[in-house]
Amino acid sequence: MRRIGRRAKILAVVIVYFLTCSTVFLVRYAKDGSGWVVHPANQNVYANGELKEGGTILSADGTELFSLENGYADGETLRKATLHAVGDKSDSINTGVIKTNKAKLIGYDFINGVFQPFEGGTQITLTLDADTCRAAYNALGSRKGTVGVYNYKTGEIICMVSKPSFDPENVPDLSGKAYEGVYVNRLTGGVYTPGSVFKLVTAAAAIDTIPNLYSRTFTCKGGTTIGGEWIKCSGNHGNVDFATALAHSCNAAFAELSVEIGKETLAEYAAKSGVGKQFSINGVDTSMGKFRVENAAAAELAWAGIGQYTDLVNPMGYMIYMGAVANGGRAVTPYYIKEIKTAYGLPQYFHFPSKEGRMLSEETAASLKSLMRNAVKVEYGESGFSGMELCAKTGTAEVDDGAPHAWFTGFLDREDTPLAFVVVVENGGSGKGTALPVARTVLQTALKAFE
Amino acid sequence: MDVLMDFLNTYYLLIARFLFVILAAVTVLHIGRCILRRTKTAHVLAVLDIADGATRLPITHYETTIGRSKSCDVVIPLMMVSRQHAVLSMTEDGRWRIVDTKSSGGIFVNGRPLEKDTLINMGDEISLAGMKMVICPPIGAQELENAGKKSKNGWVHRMKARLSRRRPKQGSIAAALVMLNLFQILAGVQLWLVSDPKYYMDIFISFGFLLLVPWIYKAIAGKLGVHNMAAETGAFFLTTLGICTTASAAPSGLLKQLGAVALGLVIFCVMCVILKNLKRVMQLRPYAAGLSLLVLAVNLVIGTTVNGQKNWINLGFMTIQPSEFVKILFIFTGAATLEWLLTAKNLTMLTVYSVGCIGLLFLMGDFGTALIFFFTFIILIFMTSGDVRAIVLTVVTAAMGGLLILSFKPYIIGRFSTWGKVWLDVDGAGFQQTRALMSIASGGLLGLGGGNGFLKDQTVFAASTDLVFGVLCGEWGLLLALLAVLCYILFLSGAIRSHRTTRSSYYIIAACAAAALFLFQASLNIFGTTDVLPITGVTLPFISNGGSSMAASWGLLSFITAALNFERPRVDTAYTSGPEPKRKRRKMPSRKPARGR
Repeated sequence: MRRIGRRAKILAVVIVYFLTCSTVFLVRYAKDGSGWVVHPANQNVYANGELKEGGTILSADGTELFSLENGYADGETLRKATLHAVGDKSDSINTGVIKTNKAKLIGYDFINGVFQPFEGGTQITLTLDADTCRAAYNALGSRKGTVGVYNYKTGEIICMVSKPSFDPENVPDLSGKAYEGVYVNRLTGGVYTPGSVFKLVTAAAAIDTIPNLYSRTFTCKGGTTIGGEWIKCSGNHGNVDFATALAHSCNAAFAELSVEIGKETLAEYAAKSGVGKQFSINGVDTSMGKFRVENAAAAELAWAGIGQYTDLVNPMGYMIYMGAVANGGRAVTPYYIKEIKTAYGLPQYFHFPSKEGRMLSEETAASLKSLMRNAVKVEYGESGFSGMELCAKTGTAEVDDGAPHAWFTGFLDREDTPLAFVVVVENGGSGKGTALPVARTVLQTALKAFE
Repeated sequence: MDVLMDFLNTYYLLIARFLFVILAAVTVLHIGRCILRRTKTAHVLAVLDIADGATRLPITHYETTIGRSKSCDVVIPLMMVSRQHAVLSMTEDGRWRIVDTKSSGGIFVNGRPLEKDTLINMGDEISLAGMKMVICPPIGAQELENAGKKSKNGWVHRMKARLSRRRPKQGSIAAALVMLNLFQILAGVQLWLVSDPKYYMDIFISFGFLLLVPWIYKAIAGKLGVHNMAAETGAFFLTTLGICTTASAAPSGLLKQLGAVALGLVIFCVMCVILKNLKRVMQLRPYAAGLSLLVLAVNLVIGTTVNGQKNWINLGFMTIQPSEFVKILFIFTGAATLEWLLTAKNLTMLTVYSVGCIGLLFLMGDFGTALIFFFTFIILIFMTSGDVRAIVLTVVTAAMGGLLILSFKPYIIGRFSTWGKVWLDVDGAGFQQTRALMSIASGGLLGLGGGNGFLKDQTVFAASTDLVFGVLCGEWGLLLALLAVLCYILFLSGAIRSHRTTRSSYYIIAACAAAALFLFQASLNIFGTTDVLPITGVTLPFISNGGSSMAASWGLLSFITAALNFERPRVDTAYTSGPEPKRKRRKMPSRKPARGR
């Protein structure tokens, strides 16, 4: 009997085999279960390919942007303006909440599955302000581009608009050139040549590394010669000091500085500022920008320092950099999903604020801030911005195809309205002429939401 | 009335879904305790007195091996004794019998050479190759009880003892059954709320039957010699879940399934009666072997082909799957007593018989069942011979044979080609598994409620049979499904642990084979459905809709019941006059000094 008993004990391997398989299954269940639930063939959730019932998506001000029962928001403009945050029915937009939080939207949770005893459903509240988004969409007019506004103290994204957009309730034929890249949320997924806005990175490097920077004078003769090549400037600025050079966005001065700072240091400051980094916005990764000067000649380095050459920047990433400047060197990570509540009112998700790593020292951030404030006062004027304490920088990025991209980015240096913003108008012309008015309209509307 | 219905429709499930899990958990807890915390331990049945009391060797099992080898139950470390010399076993009427297991020195009883079927009496002198000993009743043999066992003073055992002292709770079958009844009532109401009115009567009959039958069985269990009905209670729990899933996914087959439960219970009781008499069992084994081969052969000739498998026989009024019932005969034939194992020439016959069964199943195209038979065969071979090398050889040979078959029948590879990739072909090859996974995830931990899932026989092929785990998880929740799975694991744990107390190795081997079969078949079903393993299309024991499978599962359960219950021959007082075997004693070495005080 002893022999048989010993053999019987070895049969425990069958139990071990069974438990191993169980573990594999349970791990997959925990990891992928929400993905299984949302499959359109799941008849617990879908009837004939349409979601049966369930949750709503609200803006911060309580406007219904989407509900499984009633579809998208009222008003075509609002639908288009919030499309990239809400998402489309075919799940092609990667920042769309319908896509990223589909399982929660249909009321799935780990414990109850899709069991829904009560009417109503999950409520997903975004940080977006419906009016600001609508205003931004209108302000962009017929051009492609993006507008982002976020609260650099809390991280709430108030406006996230990307154009071209379409009405998800009446989907047009999206194959034409007018709808090129329509599924890309340009704020998080686009990359553009930055042009002069990049001078804020070069300036930070200069402040930290060039001695006697403020007492120096730069000579602009409508441009300057670097490495035997003519670097053209937008105007003939004559002899200027550093602050004025930034205000007038003098290419000659910044070309000279870029070469003086050197490749390595400039690349280091570009990396610190978040160019080339992927930020995670509610789990969606932003596109990476680019700053590559390892093999650049002197003139190419000069062009790189003023935001041309091969430089590429993601608007969201640059808005975060603006947040860092405004916030003493460290930015709060932006987010647009504020809270998710189940049908019975239990909070299922709420945002936990997080900060990015240090991008600038506190002193450098303060210097940049005053330089940007100076630029607004000296160069852009405060008409329409009065009382906002606007600090900003324009950009006119030369591109190979068509008119330059127009940039305008900055922040409001006020405790009660801590907003950072970025505006990019594709092939829009000059930053001051095209992007600045868009920002003006958007900021004026955004401030109303604070009242 | 309408108001009440509205109220129930809204709020009933809200609370009931928690109660389902709680009731099921308490039921399984009691079953687990009854299976794992059995108090009966080995005790001394007789004593071998060597050299006038100089050495006293206790006999603690009804089947005892004697020899020089350390793996024998009674070790006599003398060169003249063979490594495995003899088997001492108690007969049905409580007398002792000694059998020579091909020893070189032979056996003499009272000076005469041993004849076949010689019964020995207390006080008889036995001589193993000249080594003389006297078999005595176990009077005053308490101190020998733990002799020869390793001293249990390690910290693990101390901790164990301390823990078991702190929690001396025993399971109660009555409590388990009451909890099960409550579960059945609540589940019945849930199904009644969501079902088509034309099935109201069927549901009422089914759940009425399930409520009553365990108590009826409890009343007659004593007559069958069953005092620990933990395994049956577990099976009743699983059967209830089976009726629940059938009522939802295939309601028209509900009464047929109920009939299969009744048939299964009859087979179970008959098997219990047969298994009680080991002598009869050993006599019946060759007939069982012949019968099983005959049934499979007949099936192959007159069977009907369903889904490419010729494993059905149409009896006119119903179709049955004979291979399910052959599982019972297979284990019945494959298990053996120690005496038979050590005197039989070799296990060739068993191998030939198994190859025959598996071959016939292959010819039928029933590869899932063939795989289960092969697995059971490996378990049986291991339990009877302990020869790991032979098993490795067998598995390798079978694997090569399997590859050969794959090259002849390439369509079987098709099943493997979707394995792990079901989501790439959601509406094609992965249709069944993806639907099951959707259902499982939709249910969450607590389920959508019986009848509320979308996985039904009308929508997805074989929902109530092959994919029943999907229905179970979707409608009753993952927790309940895990509790069901726990029952299969408890069956095997119980079978493994029964070696301490049960009477004959036959019961251990059969119970281990049956319980391992359950667990293996469950693994093929559950992990096939969930795409952890390739799908083979076998049933989930007790739960899947299917009459043959249900009835045969109950039949197989009898082997586990036998191992948990049949602890001694029917009459054992007349000749042994040993200590009252029913006495409950806890084995606890640490308490021994207290007794001496």
